[in-house]
Amino acid sequence: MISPRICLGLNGWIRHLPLKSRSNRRLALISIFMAQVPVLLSLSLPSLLLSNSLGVNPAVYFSGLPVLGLSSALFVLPIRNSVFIKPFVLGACILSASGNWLMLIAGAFLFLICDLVSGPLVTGKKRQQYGKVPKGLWLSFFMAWRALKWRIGFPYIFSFFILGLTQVFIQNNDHSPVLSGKIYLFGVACSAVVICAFLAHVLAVRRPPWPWSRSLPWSSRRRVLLDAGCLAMSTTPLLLMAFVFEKKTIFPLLLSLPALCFLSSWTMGRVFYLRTGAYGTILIYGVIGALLLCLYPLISLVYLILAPILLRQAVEQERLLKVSQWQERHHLAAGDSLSWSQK
Amino acid sequence: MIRFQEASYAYVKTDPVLKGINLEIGSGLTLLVGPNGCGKSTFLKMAAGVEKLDSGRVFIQGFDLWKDEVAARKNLAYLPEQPDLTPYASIKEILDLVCRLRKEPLKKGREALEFFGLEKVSERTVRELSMGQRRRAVFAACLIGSPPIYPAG
Repeated sequence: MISPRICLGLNGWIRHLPLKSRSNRRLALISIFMAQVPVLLSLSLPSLLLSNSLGVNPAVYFSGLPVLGLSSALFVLPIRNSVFIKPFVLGACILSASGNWLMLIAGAFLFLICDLVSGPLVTGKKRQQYGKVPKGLWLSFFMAWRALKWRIGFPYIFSFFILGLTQVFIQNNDHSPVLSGKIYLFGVACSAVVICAFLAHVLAVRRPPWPWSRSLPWSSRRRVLLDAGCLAMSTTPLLLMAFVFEKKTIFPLLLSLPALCFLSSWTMGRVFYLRTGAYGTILIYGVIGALLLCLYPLISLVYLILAPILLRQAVEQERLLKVSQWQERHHLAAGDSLSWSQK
Repeated sequence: MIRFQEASYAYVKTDPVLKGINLEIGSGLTLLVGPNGCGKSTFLKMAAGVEKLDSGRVFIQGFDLWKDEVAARKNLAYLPEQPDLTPYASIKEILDLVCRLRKEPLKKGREALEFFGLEKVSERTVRELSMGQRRRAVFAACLIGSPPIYPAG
């Protein structure tokens, strides 16, 4: 996650300065390493515990952490010889964390050799060819999916995992059919919340508001509805699965879905101001909502009544966006109009 | 006609860019001049409906820009300082979207592409275009539907 943003800054104006490409690469390497320092520091505690339990000198593990950090930084760096280098760099990572002085020295040596032969940073833009899409407003959906790319897979894996756990819980415990249905409803609702939270956050970050498009003749309501529609469509596989396994769950879910999608759209508009990104708000409200839904399925009617209010809030939030203001926070590109050029 | 009524706007609350502006811009060419950072581009963004005023109202041909969003925006085509295009669509797709929103036939988009010499690069995204080509693409989008008002940065 860190590497593309750091390397993006090294591709432009800085390249005209009198600096060797090797130095340029090493600067990027050190930048990534520095960004990893908190992670490495947090690894020192498990290292200490591990060294105590294995009876190894903790200094071996502590000395290995910088080598591990540098090697992993080199692993993610877009360098010319990355294909040949990566297996060796990975080897250096493993050796540096092995807890043996000899292995650590070998790891450090391997890293140094890899650094010498890794070549300059790879620059230039990847050619992006998109396939044909249906005309008109469908483009909005495709733009969202293009922004998400392979990231769209993660929430499904996680939500199906939740669904699987729910199924296992039901199978391994004796419950009345009514209670099983409620537990299943909770599982599916939580899965839908996870999908919406993840997709809303990634969309807000990777597809920030497009300032120019706001001058086109479409309303804020339409833009919010398109986003909410995209999120709702993304939950379709989950709803189909819920329908196949427990038909009764589908109605409360369908009635609650608009409120969840509008809540997500509203949160997308506030993402700059939220320290937890869009995840926190959607997950907290969503899981509480799912719990209430499983206890009182009729509350789905209340959610349906709440949906227009949430839509109005989301529309107002969309209008209030200061799209041309630099609002970079938590490494979000959202709000930065120049971030359109981000890889 | 563009009319600003008690318009105020601030990126940071303590430092307003525009404060209580009352202004009417009629037909013909109007130039906005002022020192750097005085809010010319911000003013244009307000007029184009890119940024919403903190207080006050903007009317385009009599339509409130934030209450009759579609009707007001049908009358303008914004030409920003930076050719601000999404990387998630090709130039052709963007022009198709503009045609659809301005209720114009898709062939208008093709004609605009041809007029600006962009047919060969129409399948490309903004990332694969030079700055000049990007500017031409935004020009092409602006011409679709021939709206009467062009706020240009």
